[in-house]
Amino acid sequence: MQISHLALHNFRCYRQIDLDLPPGVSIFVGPNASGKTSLLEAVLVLATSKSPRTTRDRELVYWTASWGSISGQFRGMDTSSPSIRIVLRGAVSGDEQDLPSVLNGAKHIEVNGVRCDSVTELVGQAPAVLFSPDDLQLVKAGPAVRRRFLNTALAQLMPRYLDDLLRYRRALRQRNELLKQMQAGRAMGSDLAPWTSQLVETGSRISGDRQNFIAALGEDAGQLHTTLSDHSEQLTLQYDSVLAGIDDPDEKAEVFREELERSHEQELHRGITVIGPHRDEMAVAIDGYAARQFASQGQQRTAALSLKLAEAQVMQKRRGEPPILLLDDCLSELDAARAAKMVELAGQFEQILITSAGSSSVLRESNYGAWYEITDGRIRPQ
Amino acid sequence: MLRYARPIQQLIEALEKLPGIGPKTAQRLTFFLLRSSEQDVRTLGEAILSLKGETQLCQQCYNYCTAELCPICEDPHRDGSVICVVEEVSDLMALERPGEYQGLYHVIGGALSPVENVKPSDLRISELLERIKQTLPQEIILATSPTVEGDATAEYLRELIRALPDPPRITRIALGLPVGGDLDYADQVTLARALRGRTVMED
Ligand SMILES: Nc1ncnc2c1ncn2[C@@H]1O[C@H](COP(=O)(O)OP(=O)(O)OP(=O)(O)O)[C@@H](O)[C@H]1O
Ligand SMILES: [Mg+2]
Ligand SMILES: [Zn+2]
Repeated sequence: MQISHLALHNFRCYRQIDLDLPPGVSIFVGPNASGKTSLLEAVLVLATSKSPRTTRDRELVYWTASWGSISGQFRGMDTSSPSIRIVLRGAVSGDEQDLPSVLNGAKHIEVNGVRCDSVTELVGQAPAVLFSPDDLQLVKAGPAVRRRFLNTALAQLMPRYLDDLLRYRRALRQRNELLKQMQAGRAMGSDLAPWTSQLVETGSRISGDRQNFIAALGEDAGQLHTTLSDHSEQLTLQYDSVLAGIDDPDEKAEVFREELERSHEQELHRGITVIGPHRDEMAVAIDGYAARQFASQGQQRTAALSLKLAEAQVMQKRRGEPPILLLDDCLSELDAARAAKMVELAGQFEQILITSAGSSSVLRESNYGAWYEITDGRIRPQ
Repeated sequence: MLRYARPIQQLIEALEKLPGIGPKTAQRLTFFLLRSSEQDVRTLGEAILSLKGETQLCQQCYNYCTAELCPICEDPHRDGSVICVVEEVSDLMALERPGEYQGLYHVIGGALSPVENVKPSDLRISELLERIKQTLPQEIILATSPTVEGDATAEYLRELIRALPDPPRITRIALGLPVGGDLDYADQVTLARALRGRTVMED
């Protein structure tokens, strides 16, 4: 997949830009606060409907504007060449008459000119993978960050996964609310069963998808890490879950149901569902030791990079088409040898957008790509 | 602050309470009515008043109507052995439109939702069970919406109906594919759900 044209209107620091993008490598160089991250963020919002930086869409719109938009024309390998447009409401409430008529709510999503009623109709149309300095958190932070990583990847791989995930969250919220009401004696135990069923049905599918994905990811990430660490280290991934290690979907559902029953006293006591995919973990280990606790900064960085590259590779294999790679200022964090390897590995993909605060020597030497200069929300080819 | 004359201000404020109508639209509608003919405004006002005054709920299925029973329940040609359970009257209207269904309905008035504090006792579930016991239908079609809440409500109803003595057949409305579209144009989530809801081909 590749993006051939990007237009931004009142998105972050960009008032208005129209940008043609070539296949292959594009390199955007600009000082701090010039708009590099915002540019890649825009592409990721088109791919996933969400910003990796914030959950409040309002923040994406230019400070003083009442609305903003992102439009992208994509080109796929076969017949799929989606054009995607997202219109967002800003934090300042302008004159209602000035808002585009399509914007009834906070966000309007359009694929090929047709309004999407659900994000499941968007996500997966134009897959992208973002590499950023924050990726370190993937190894360093708690399990929630890794669940988010799994969700972003799987949602782009299979819209069905996103549908299950949204339904799971909804069922979980309802079930937790009911548990609280039961705790307070305001609801009966017999009311819980239908919510448990919804949770089990969607949750066991989510668990199956994660289990398969982590297995595929582990294989690729292991190889990549070995390459990036000069064959000295072994990276392994493990799916940690009450539902881990069960292959048969029906059996998974059955085990989930049994485990929920087993934890019933505890969930009644605490007023929340204490087991399930919302507690899943993907454990990352280097040479057998938990990377989160024991790995050095450099090791963690390499592991995070391997995970991200593996994500892109698995997407490419499963979809038969590579995702767009977005590299946000992440080469500067690596030593010269690793940065060179990273550039080489990224080179296999169809399109890569790279940002850099300085004109990195690795990029100069690699001697490829179209160069652009970013200054204060303006982009100029060099 | 400068305010409009009282009757104008009053209507603007009343209209603003309607869903999807902001202050600007409320103002526009109000001034439109002010310029309209006496007759047009009177017709609108009377329509609004009789909406509350003359509409009632069908004693059997809880459809809106103007008599004790709604036209569907009164129609002798409808098949009383099948009852289709829907959340709202608007769902009933949607199911009526194709003219395919010949049975009766039961509007339960929403879907279970602990978050919005909708409990089983807030829905017309005991009325449904009582009606099944009285009229002994052969089939109950559960046509609550395909959301998490609608599915949970369907399951809740299924368990209760199953527990009745000599229970009717229980079916769930199928999630179909869009007409006229080729399979390769159907969106993936619709396809995945249609596959999961597949049924045995009868001969
Ligand atoms: N909603 C917004 N409206 C206008 N400007 C914004 C908005 N949100 C962020 N900005 C500003 O946009 C500028 C560019 O931010 P961005 O994160 O894209 O910079 P960057 O080039 O990636 O910088 P760095 O090299 O420091 O990472 C910053 O000055 C930021 O304060
Ligand atoms: Mg940045
Ligand atoms: Zn009726």
